[in-house]
Amino acid sequence: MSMRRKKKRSCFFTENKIEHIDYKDEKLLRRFLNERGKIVPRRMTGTSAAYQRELAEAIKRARHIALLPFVSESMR
Amino acid sequence: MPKLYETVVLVDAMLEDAAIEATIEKFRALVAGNGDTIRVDRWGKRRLAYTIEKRTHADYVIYYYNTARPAFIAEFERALRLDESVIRFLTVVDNPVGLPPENAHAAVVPEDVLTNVETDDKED
Repeated sequence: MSMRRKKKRSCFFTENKIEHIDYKDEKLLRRFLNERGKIVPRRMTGTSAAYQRELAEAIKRARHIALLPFVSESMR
Repeated sequence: MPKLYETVVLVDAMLEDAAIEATIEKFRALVAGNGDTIRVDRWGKRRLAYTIEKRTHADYVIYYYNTARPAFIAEFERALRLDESVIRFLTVVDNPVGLPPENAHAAVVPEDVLTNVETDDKED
């Protein structure tokens, strides 16, 4: 019986009624990357599955046009 | 409703300003000649998240347009690939929310970015 600490996180996109995630919105997308530049799993962020898929797509597009890094040592 | 296309173009920021303008203008004319330009956003010079072909900065331009002739997209992309001043581009169709506000996400670029273009390789 593990006592995993349960942090209630709710989906940012659902809460803010964002109907489309823009790959050009660098500031927003960065919130879902860790310091290494990896996409943070939805179990950490609480993002709903549908939005996580859309988010992943947007981040990958942003990486292609060099708005976001594929990898980074420190992102700040 | 006609499809909304958007193409982000990264123009090499190492070029002379006049050359950058010329490239942007060239594609602006190409788009206008083959469809309806809805808007052209110019983000200006930005630092790239990683270097591409030894470039650290690019001038971001976004063309929003539609066209009655889908084959034009392929022609446009071919022209972009052939142009040496274009570092990279990305075309996306039909974002469901339509046009974003003008220069949204442009992110303010400090003036000194322009002077730093050749020198700042050890910033971060």
